[in-house]
Amino acid sequence: MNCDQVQSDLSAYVDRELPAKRQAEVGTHIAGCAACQRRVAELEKLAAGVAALPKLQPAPQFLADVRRKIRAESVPRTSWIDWLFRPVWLKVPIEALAVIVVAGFVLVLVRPSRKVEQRALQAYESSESARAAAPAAVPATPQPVSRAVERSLSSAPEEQRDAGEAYRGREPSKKPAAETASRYGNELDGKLPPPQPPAMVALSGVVTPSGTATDMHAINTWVVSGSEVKDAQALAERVATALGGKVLLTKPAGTESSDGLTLAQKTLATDKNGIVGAQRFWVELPKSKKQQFMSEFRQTMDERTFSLGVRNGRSEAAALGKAKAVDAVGGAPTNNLVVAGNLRLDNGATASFSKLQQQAEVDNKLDEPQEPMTVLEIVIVSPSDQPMH
Amino acid sequence: MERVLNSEAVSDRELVARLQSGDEKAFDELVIRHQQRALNVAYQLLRDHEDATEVAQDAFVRIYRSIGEFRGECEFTTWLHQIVVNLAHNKHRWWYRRGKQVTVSVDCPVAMPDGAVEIQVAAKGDAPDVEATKAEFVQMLSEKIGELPPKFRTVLVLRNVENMRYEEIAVALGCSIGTVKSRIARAREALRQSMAGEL
Repeated sequence: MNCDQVQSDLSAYVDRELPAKRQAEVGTHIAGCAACQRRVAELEKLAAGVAALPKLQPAPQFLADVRRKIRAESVPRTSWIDWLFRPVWLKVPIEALAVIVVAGFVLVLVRPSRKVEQRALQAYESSESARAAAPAAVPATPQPVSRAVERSLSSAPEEQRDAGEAYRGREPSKKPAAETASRYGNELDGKLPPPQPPAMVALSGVVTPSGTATDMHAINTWVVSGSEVKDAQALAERVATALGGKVLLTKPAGTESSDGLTLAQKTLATDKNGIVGAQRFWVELPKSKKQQFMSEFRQTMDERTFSLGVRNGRSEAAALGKAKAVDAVGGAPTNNLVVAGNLRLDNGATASFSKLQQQAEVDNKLDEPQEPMTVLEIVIVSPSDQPMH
Repeated sequence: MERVLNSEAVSDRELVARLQSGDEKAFDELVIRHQQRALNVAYQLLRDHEDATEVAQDAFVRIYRSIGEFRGECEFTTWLHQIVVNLAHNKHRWWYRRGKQVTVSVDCPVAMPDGAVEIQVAAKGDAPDVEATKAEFVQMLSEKIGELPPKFRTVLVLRNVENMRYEEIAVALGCSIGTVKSRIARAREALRQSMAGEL
């Protein structure tokens, strides 16, 4: 056996890890080989050196630290982020859904219901009737619409409000009208931006050719841009013609004029010179078609208003949909959309039209045999006619 | 090398059995008994006191978590070394990716926030000049070992520091006995060549 045959086993020989027979063979060779003896001596010195490498003494708190780490891993994470979001796959979708539901619920609660709006307007109209009975109570000068309506609402006699409810076949409201009015008033005074001159189309003053006013206080109001006002007459003419009626540019004889407007609409319809009704025209059509005309006219105007809201990028308007179109445009003024800045008017207008329809039904029943035709007065209030607050 | 740090009246196997049955004190005894072993193996592999302490502690945490899976097919110390080596290699790779240069002076006391720990050089009973020579040799050897590839360093430490048999090392490293034998021989040959003037 030569040195090359034992070289690879010398390390294991030093460690005594060779099989006994091999260990003995290598040992025999080393005993007779000086070179291999030196090599074994070097390996033993290296092994001893490695064994003598510096040793560390564990810190006294080594065990305590181990225990602390174990406890830290055992305690579930209870930070508020974990509590809120983990596990993400479960909690985040549920929380998102809950937020949507709550937001929708709050939106429904905050937004004034149509019932409340109708009740408020009814009280307001009753107040106007009382004012008509006592003309001195009506302010001589145009007043800001919001304050006028607020005062009217708060001063409406309760029996008149109840009478209005009775007209609809309901129990009289338990809530005083002033409560609703102050709610509206607070919104207007506290939150809305300074009102911009609105362009409005006021559909009002349903009178008969015989001169007997039958529905002088019914109102409907749409907020449209200035250019849209020009289309109002063409729209009315198109709708009236389709229903067998026509548009009259002069007031028909025997009809009453703006006295049929409410105080609010008088205010809106009063121009800079104090002339009530700066622009107006009349629509004569069969009385049986009145309601249809009103419906189509309203629908078209609502659609225009609604489309304006969408065009101006107000997603809220789009989301609210056509039925809420009037409310939707009660936001901030934009370049091509003239906004009334008066949520109360918008809401009130919506409610009043509902009553107008009902009143029209009554009119139809009462007047059909005697008067087949009726005249609608449409008042256009352009921005320049709007009194400033 | 003194392998027993505490009384071994109770064997590791028995302590493991008690721990598996829920005796927390058995775990404390295992830690106290083997903490220095785990710490020094980790230190020799990492050459960083803080990292070695962290690795050694994490090894015991892992043992605590996995004690139910330990079937007793090998010695507890073999299992412990296996965990320490794996964690140390992970830590080494972690530092290697971040470009940390691991160097240490063996005669430099390591001051730690949790108390100064002197590096102890085993040199007892020799004359001062001989002791100094040995210390110098060990320091150089330590530096050379630090330059070895981790797999060579590991087998050398397990063999000569922990006095583990080839079979145990093979179990701890998950390789064959022949591989262990080969690695140890190659590691020593590399050291012998790099320390040629000192041997």
